[in-house]
Amino acid sequence: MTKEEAKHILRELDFDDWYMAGVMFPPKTVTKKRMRKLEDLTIFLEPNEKMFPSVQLKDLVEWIENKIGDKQLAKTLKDINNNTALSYLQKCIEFHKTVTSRCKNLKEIAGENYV
Amino acid sequence: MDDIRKRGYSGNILHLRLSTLDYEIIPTEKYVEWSGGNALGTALFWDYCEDKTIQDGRNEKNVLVITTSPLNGTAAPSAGGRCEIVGVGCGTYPIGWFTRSNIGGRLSSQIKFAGYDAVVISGKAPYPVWVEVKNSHIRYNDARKLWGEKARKTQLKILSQLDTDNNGWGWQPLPGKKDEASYTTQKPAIICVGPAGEQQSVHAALVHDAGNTSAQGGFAAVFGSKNLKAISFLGTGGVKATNPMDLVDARFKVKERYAFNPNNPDLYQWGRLSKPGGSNFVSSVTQNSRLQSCAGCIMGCRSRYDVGYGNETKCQATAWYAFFALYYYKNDRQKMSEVALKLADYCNDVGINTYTFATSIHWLERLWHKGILGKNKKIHTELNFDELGSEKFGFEFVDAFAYKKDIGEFFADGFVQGAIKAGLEDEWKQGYLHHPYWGIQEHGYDSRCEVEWGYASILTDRDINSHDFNIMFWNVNLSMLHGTPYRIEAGKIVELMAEKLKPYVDSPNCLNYADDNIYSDDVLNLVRWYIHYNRFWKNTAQFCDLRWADLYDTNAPGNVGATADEEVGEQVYWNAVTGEDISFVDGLKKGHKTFIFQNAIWALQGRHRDMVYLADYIYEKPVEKGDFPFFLWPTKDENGSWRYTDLMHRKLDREKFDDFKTRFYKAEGLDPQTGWPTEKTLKELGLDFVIDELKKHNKLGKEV
Ligand code: SF4
Repeated sequence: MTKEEAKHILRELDFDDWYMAGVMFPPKTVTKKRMRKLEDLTIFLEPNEKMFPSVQLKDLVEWIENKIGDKQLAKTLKDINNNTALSYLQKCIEFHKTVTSRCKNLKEIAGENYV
Repeated sequence: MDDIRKRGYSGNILHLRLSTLDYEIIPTEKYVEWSGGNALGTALFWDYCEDKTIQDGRNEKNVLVITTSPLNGTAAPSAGGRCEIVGVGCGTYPIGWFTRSNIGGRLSSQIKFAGYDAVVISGKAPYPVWVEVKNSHIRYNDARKLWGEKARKTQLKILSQLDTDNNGWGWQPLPGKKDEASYTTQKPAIICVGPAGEQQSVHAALVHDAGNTSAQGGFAAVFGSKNLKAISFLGTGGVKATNPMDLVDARFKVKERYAFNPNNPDLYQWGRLSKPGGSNFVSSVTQNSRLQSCAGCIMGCRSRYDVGYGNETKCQATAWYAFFALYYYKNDRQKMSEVALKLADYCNDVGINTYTFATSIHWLERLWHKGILGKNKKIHTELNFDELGSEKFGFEFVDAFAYKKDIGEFFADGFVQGAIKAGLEDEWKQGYLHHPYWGIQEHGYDSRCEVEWGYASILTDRDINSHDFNIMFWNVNLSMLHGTPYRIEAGKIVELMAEKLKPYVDSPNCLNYADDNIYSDDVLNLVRWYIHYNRFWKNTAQFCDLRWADLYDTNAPGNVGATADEEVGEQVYWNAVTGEDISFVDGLKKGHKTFIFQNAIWALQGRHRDMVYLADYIYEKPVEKGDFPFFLWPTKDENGSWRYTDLMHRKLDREKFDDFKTRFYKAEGLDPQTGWPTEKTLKELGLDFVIDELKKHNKLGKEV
């Protein structure tokens, strides 16, 4: 992957392509926020005991594939999502790990000071 | 002591006549057939509001009723501390309907201890006032110096003014005869408005203590329009139950059967009555907290913290801004909680309804990025939405609404109203502004999936805000989320719930939310039960929505919920206190009567069935991506097998809902052509006195 390609994947999208994601505060509410770029997912996908990602993983993968434009990452995530042995939360944890490490690698390619 | 004072009533209704700054006492005896709460409030509104055609609660002719139940101030589980408010509201679209709201804390118990079952508020004070009620002593006080104060300061100042003799003990002196007790250690319960209510913004909330608010309905704006800053209640009386031992026995029994074990809590319990945990949605900023509750609650849901903020805050107030803050502070969860709780405190202090922000802030963000909202844009704002998530922006945003400035002024009559004013009606119709029923915000559960919530909201007057069936959404979907087995399988849960809904429904098919069943008579009957249950057991008897109805419960043998149970159901507490002998279903029938009564008021206000429809996007667009991972709900397949099915991606069918409405009106005894009550129905329900008024306005429904 070239530096330019990495930067492209890490870029902030135009508003119309932002992804509305929910976060669940069980057992009473879901609140939403728009994801502007790939790296935003590293915060949102990390579950803790009071706050879970609330999103359709299949749609999220499509967003990564079609809007972010990272087909390779989308393929990995698709495989995780298709793993019927995993619960939704386990899938989120795997998504989180995968996206976090992908962002780290992309940033390294893009250049040390890439924000 | 007369008879009704032994039956949970205090015996008097206080009528505050603000225009003349005087009052009258009405004997409750005259109204005892209305039970209390929502029904009593509706009857008092009918008698004291001379013009029932008003379409905005801020009209001077409006009458507001704060009303209690015989169960308030007693040990009835999670029913002792709620308080109902009714009157014409504001903020709904196209007009402000006659509506209701509810508030917790100590308010209703102090009202009763002071000797009253309800407070009727009419007219408009010539200048800002607050009202002091100490037992039979009623006094109007000049509130000009309080005007502009936030809720906390208002309450503190009133408390300091009440403690008139500076006895130094914090005891409240009582005016009275020399031979009567002259002090009490009780603290007055104060209901007040902050700046938002004074500004008559429809987004304002009434506030009591730190975190009790009455927001939906827009009644704080009504207080503001009446120049009413606050009412303080202090009483030294009590509430007498007819059969106190029956009440105590049932309370112990319900605890034995349903309570969770604090040493080994079942975190995956299904059911409502004794679900452990508070309702502050974000992580606590400290481990040092203790539970706090409304008077007499069986399971408190709020906390007080040693950090000095976030006390008693709960629900949406703690959540609406948290996710933005999490991003702004780069995943610092401690900071997120701090900002969310401090902002929740602030919203309660200025008296603002945070539910209104939960959906609209996303829409405003959209307008900002579309170039419609901004400095010198179509909708002008000085706010910088690029800072959304920061503590500073959060406070500035709330301030705009609390002080009716900037966008708070533009949207002071409601977001849909503002959208129309800006020529952005399509934004609402297409669902960018998630306001599905009567122009107000979605509660969080999409009407296209959870149809009973949407149907009941549009068939009444606002967001029904009642989680009786919705608890299933959380139980089932959290199981799926965690990958844990369902505690109750779909086939069983529908049986358990349908059993509680008898005789309204005759089969579990009422809980079959498959596409081809959501307009069926079975679902229709579930919706009727839902509305009637709310109007009586929840809004009139005042069982708290966080604990009731308990339609199934894994804490109990056979997973049977407490609702309608012979030994621990709602009617047991009601009968123990009032000495009546009503069945659970008798209560539902009373709920039906109140609902029809309210339909008469809505008809006078101008409602016609053609106005009763959900926002266009509900029929035109499938549920959007991103809200939930799935919306699992019971459905039955062609072989009769039940399972939990994902209902995402559904939209409703306009014609089918219209037909549903026709059948609903017929079943309720309303004219299906107009939705207005018919003479026959009114007579059958003992509402004959309504007929002439409806005739006078040409609003009497034709017989079916
Ligand atoms: S559950 Fe919460 S809101 Fe309901 S009565 Fe108890 S403390 Fe009040």
